[in-house]
Amino acid sequence: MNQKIADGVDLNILQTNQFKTIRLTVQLIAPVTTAGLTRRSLLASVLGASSQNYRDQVAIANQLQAMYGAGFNMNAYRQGNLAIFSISMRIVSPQYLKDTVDLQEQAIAFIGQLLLHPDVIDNQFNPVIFKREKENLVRYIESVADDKQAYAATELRQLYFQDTTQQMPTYGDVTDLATITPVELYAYYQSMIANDYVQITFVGNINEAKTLTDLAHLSFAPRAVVLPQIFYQQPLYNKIQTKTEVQNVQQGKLNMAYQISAYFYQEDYYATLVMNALFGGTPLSLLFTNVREKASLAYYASSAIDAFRGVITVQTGIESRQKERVLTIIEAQRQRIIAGDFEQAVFEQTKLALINQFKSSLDSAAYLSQQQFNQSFVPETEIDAEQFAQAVLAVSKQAVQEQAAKMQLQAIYFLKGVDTDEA
Amino acid sequence: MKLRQNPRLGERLYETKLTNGLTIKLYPKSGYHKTYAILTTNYGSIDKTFIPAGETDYVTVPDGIAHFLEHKLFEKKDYDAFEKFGRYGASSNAFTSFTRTSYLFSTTSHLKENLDILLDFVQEPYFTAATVEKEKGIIGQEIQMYNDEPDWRLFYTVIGNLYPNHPVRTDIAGTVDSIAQITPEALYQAHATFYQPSNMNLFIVGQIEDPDKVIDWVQANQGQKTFAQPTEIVRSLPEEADDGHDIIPYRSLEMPITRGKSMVGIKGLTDYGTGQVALETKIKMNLLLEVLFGDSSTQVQHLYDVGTLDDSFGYEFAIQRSFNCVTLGGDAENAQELSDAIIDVLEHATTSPDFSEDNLALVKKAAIGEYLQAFNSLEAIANQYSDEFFTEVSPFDVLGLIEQVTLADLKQMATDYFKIEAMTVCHILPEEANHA
Repeated sequence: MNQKIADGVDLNILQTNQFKTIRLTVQLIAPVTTAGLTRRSLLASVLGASSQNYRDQVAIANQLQAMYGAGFNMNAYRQGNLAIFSISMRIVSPQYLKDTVDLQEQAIAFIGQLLLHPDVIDNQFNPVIFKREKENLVRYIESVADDKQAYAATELRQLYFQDTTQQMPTYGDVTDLATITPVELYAYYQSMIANDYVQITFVGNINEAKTLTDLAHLSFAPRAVVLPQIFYQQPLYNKIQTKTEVQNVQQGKLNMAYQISAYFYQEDYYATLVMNALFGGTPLSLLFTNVREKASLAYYASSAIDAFRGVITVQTGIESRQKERVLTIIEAQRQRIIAGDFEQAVFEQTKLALINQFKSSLDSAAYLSQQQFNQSFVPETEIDAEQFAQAVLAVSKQAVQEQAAKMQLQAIYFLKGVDTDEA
Repeated sequence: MKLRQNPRLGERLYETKLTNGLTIKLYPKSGYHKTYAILTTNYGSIDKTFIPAGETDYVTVPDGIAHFLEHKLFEKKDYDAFEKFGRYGASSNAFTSFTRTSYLFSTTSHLKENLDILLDFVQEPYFTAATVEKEKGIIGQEIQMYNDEPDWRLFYTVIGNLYPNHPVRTDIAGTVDSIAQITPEALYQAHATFYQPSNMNLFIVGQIEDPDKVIDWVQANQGQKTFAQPTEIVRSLPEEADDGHDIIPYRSLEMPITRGKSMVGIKGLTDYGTGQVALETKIKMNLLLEVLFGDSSTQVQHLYDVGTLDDSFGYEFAIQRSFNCVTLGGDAENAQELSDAIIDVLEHATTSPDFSEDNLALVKKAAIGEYLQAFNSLEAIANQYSDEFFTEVSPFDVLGLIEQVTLADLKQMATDYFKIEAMTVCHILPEEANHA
């Protein structure tokens, strides 16, 4: 069931008995901006730390425990040109409990409390909590550099994207973060609550008769919504962007970015999906079998599509002195796809794997909830397992070859370990 | 076939044992598209000293052999098991822990064919000197990668401190030196000993149309193979001090990280056996740790407020065949301050303001909810209930076990377990910036 509650506020209910749980999600959606990413990321910490009724994290934790170990998560992320501030809860379906409790209403009220009744004094967030959450976020951002896979991905993003908003990690910028005050963040929050497009999504055995009454705990005023097109595009570079860094690590990281022209469920999407799966997207892929298994050159080697931003990234963990060899072998795999030099059997299997993956994802309430979001921005995603399977099976070998040929290598980032010599 | 069920939850579990000793468990989930199957042998990285099947004397094999065997089983003379699953679009994987090795696939079609592939590739070993050599490069990379991960180093340093002799102290994957010594013969020997059907179980969960038919499929597959007469598996472990006096109390390392890390480890000096008793111990210890260190702990909130710990703080209770221990820790500006604070809470556990009936009631409610929520996940169901260690307990008994825990139980647990002589500390400190 999809229904408009107010202008700019939509409710989606997916009624199902498949799960032991109910999943409730509220998403606040706005055009992505550099300042916005950082502020939303800080808001996710600050709003989740206290509210008018729950004065600290212990009070929040106690309430979640009292709701039978309800799961609660607040986070901010980016999807193409959109910034999404998301609050989700997972509660046990009340019919499985011995006690009679209206967990649905309690959960909606809980989200309403944290999101709409923040811990605010004199038009600013509680400064004590604000300061602590900000410090924690700074530390978290700094610690990402310790996870070398994540660090290499961050560096590649900076190297590839031309738009500073797209270069930025989802959690924002640490220098900008330092300048934010409790007053300024509260002003940003008020504007977010008043102006963002709101999507509320429930998945599970929902008491629909009570939903609208329950939503009195979580009410949003009507708003006029203008959002950009979700897909991000950028012109090609004249020459490949490269960066090499040396750090005291045992394993080198070699990451690459290829621009593609196909977008999420748009023209050539299925062919690109199959092509990427063949290239490096599955354990049967050419990157996995040739870089990792056959050549024994890497512990991991894979590729991934960001179909909202038109890019395929390759990530590998390698011995640093093997860098040039690995680069050559990766590009050789793409050339093989272009030349149609892959087995028909592998091609068919790759399609079956994608179909298997799609069907399996229908067993996840979180995925079903995300599908509701996708459908509102990309209506073409509204398909069932059978339609998806048909579309994938219909992809021709030639279409896959064409998509591989269209990939444009744009950026190469190399994190070089110091313990090895480059050959 | 034995049937266990909980009509209130709408969940059921079938169980049977084939004549060759293989245990099969079937857990149909209505509404699900996927089927997940996992074949487990009660054999892991700690099983390095044993009497090989058909022999009389103990052997000690190189560290990392169980994990190496797991990798190598996928590769056959004329096929690769990964690819064979792939023919039906299924995905497959495997993992090795301290005490078990599991092989799994997930599929949305062709269950019978995939089951045959699983049983065949795990039960029909094929190793050559050449393929074994090649694998050493791949696993060597894996070991190196983990060596760069500070959280992994922290955990293994703590375990190494707690267990000066027990093989749990060594990385599951072994070391670059130990895997260099692995031979095809050693792999065949380990396989013949630990991959006997009587030492294994097959757990299938998700979309299952007809349980009887699935049993018939597995039976037909097993009927085509000949297995050696089952033999008793004899393992040996080195001695460790009962009173914990051989524990190394402290170690610190430096790594290229921005923020320090701190961990406290506590060695369980009591063996809690297996099955129901072990499971009860696990439930009690997890409730105790949640009461003292969980989300509703005022002491942890205070440490968070003053900046001693942050969101990375966590704890774990590991209870497996032949060992059990608690680890607690996370990132810290001041690693010493965090480990001191953790030990302080442990030492005063039963007089802690969080150690109350009210808090336990809340923590139990949350545990019940989390237990119910776990039935959403095929992987969670299979991974948890295919562990031989807890095998005699029904998944549906767990709720009752949680409900019956009292504060007195937790007091006993804290008094027995949190002994200063059983504890160790590890700090990882940011390296002096040479490579900024």
